[in-house]
Amino acid sequence: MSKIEINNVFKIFGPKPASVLQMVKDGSSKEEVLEKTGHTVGLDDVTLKINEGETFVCMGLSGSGKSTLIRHLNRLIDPTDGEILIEGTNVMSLKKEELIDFRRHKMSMVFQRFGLFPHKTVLQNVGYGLEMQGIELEKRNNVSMEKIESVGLTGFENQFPNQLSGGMQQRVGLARALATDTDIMLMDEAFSALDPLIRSDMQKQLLDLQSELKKTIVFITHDLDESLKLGDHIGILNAGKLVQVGTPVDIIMNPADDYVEAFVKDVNRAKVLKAKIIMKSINETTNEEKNNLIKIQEDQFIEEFLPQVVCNNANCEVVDKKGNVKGYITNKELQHSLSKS
Amino acid sequence: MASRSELINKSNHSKNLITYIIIAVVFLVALWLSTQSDGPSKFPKEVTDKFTFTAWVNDGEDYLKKNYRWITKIIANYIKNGYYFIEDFLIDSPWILVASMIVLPCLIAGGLRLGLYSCFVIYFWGAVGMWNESLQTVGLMGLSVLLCVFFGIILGILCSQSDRFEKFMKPILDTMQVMPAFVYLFPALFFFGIGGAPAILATMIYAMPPIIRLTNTGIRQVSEQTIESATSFGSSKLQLLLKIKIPLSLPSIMMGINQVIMMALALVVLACFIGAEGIGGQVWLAIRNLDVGWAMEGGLCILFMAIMFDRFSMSFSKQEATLPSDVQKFYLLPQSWEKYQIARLLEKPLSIIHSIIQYVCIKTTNFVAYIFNFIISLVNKSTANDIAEIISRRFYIIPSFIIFFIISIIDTNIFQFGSFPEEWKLSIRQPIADGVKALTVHPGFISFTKGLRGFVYLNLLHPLDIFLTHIPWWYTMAVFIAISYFTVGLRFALITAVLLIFIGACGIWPQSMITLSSVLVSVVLCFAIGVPLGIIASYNERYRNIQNVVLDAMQTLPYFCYLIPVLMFFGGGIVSAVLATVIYSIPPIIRLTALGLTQVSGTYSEVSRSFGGTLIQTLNKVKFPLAVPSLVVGFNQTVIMAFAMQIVTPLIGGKGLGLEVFNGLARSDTGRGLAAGIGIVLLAIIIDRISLAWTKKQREALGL
Repeated sequence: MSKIEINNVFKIFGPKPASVLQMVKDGSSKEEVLEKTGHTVGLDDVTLKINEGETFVCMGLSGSGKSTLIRHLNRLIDPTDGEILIEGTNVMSLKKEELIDFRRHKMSMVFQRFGLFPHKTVLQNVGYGLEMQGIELEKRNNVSMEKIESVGLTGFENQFPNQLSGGMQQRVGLARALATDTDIMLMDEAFSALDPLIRSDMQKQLLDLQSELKKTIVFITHDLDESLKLGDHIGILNAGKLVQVGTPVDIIMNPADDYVEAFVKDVNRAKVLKAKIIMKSINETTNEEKNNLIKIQEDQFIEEFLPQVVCNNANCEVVDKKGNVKGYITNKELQHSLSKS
Repeated sequence: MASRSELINKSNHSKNLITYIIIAVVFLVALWLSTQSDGPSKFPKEVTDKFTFTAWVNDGEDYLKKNYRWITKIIANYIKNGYYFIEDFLIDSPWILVASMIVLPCLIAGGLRLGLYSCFVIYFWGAVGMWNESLQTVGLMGLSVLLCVFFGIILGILCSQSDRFEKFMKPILDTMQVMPAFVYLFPALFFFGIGGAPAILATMIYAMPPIIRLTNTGIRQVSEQTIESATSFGSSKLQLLLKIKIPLSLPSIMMGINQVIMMALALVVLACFIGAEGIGGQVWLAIRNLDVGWAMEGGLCILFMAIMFDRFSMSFSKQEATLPSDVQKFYLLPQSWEKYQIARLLEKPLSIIHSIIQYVCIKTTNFVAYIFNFIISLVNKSTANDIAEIISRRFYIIPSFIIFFIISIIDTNIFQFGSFPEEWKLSIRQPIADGVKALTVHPGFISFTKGLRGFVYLNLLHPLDIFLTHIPWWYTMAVFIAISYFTVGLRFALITAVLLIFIGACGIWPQSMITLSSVLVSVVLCFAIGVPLGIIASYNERYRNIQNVVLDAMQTLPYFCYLIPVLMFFGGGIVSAVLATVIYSIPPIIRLTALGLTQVSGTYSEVSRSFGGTLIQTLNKVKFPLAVPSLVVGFNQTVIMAFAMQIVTPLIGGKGLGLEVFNGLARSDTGRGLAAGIGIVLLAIIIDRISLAWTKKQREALGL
């Protein structure tokens, strides 16, 4: 069973969403609906499964509905139609108190503009989720301090958010989401407001934390590089429709339509494709191609071994961590994977 | 396209021309009509005789007094008891206890500077012998502020939670904001008789709009993000309100409380008209006795008190600036003097004393918190922790209470402090009176004041009085209705007609024309003085900063205070009334002229200059037209303030509706006072609406 299941979710914004629903279901486009009824289609028949322990990145340009989608998971926004199952429970069937309880214990969220409370200290901010869970002050502070340490902010716990830099503020946001120790973490453009350097720093920190914690993360971004770096699976949204779901390599190598293709066109493939993905198996490799070999790790990106290949005009032998040979890469594979189709 | 826009321009031009011609014709006809009549125009006698509003009101009052007095008596009694309790406490307590209860909060909230200032204020009250009166005013104000803040915050929270309730409250608050303060005194007097209770009720209602408004907007302005993030962690609606929204809107609420305090002080002082005790009564008495020194003492008491309460309540909504660690923090002197060696030396002992006091306070508080924690933890451990934390965070409050407690014990057991020591008294009454006398007998000064008075009277006030009172009432009324129709719309024109007919039928038409002329003259003078000052301020930032400080101080003063200097230098009379009105109502026009002109984006004036426009041309052709909406807002506020001032100017010789109100109150002829009071309000409302509609049109025309 998937951790999160979204089935045929529609979201229409406007005064009378229900009246427009059938029109959207019959396949009218976003522009048509807007022109005829004044309603905005937020999500159009989104169906999607997210597995336990994976990082699912939802990507799209602004206005594509990605922020709307993530807010359906904890029902900050209610769908117009469709169902959302989390661990098999239909979130839509929850009563008011159950929903509050669900938000307290099942998921936590990190926000684009951090969403920190300006009147609370870092410690109080991090402890807010625990406070909502009704945990008493002493224990709350202990857990919060632990999380503050894990994001590297020890010593800042009594400062107020506006005394911190953007990157530090988002670490507080992250610590706050971690403090409640929920299975699911929702991250809404969590790093988009940060400078590029700090952003890649935070991405690395998230990957490190995730390799330990193995949470189910739903990550929203408009940045393709970020989604390729973080995502186990990526879903691409356009005008409220989910146009493609797949692994990073799927998305790059086999774009589902022109929209996705335009998206991935400018990606620096050498930076995102790993050796193990472009290599061919041992069986397919002829003996001549096994000449003039250099050894590379299967997890290396193309850009990391490309200079060596060019200098020595060599072929590559791909090995795993134990040194077993997994496959080979020749000029042909490199050419194929690096050329824009 | 081009030809079409030309056509539009042309039709605009001819439209403007027609408007000017119409205005000129209307004016000339009025002039001709006014010269034709041989006496002030009066409403038809048949109508005024039948419409005996005054008698109806008085009958109604008698009826209510007879039949429903018991309800209002119960309410009034509760308030009276509360007020007497506070007043007795303040007056009967040892003076040093009362003083410390004012000084310590000032010291804690506003630092050493405000603390020292509050010491001075309290000393002043005692020194000029107005200790009891000052405390009475503080008590009246305190209780009304307390009630007002309590109900205001509740209503504000309700507004923020329900759009429907907000929609319901908004027009009520809008109307309340336009009403001059004294309007609230009538119904209070009507239902609750004279004394402190109606004063408190009237003040409470008068001062409530800002706190409701600012609580509401404060809560509504909490960002969507913050609310979302609190919700995503599972906050319930109540938790969201208590833990996030209200704490975040505290600065806004504190701003509201500040405004409540200032408005309450203004009305409590004015409430001497309906028999409330306090400094207001002293000033009134002094003015009636033409005792300038005495009036000045009272006025200064009010002024110092107003500034103290203003700074005190402002200090809560201000955030302290954090200094870099290598900069010595200054407690008394301005921080900008940090570069001077002497200043640093002077501050050194202060900072040592500060840290000692802080250390002692923290230790005491922690000790108290520890005891509380120990006692409560016997019952419930987690609440004990919470309470201890709450106590230990506020480490000045517990020591303050300990000080109060010690003073009370010393007073009852060892040494009686009693009331303010006689030997510290220092009356400034005589020196002021002498000083003023010396100045006012100076021939140059006399010729100056005489000249000014003569000029204003002969050239402005008198002709306008004659003109307005002599135009037949139907003509004036028609002009007003026409203006209402063209600026606001048909509905408001009808309302204007009804309101004006009411004024006429009450038999106060001539008086209202006199009031109108005083207000018009005051506003014209305000413009003549205020606009140039505003222009200077818009060009010179240094001057602007100084001027803003003065204007801020002016706007915190109750309007009583403006009578005193005018009375001092110009004596009583109708011109003095106009001058007092000018001083009181000039700040908005100065401020908004400066604001309007500085807000005009730099690019516009750069464009104008790049095409070779001179300073005057730029001002005339670019800046002023763009600043018009702002100027109109200034006009609007100035007019409203000028109308409000009409109620107190009779004290120094003002005439018109204000005098009627005054006489009505003085002779407890409620009907007469109420009719005249309503008259002032109605005139103010009509002009307010017209100028607001005009602002809106100007803004739309400029695309703002």
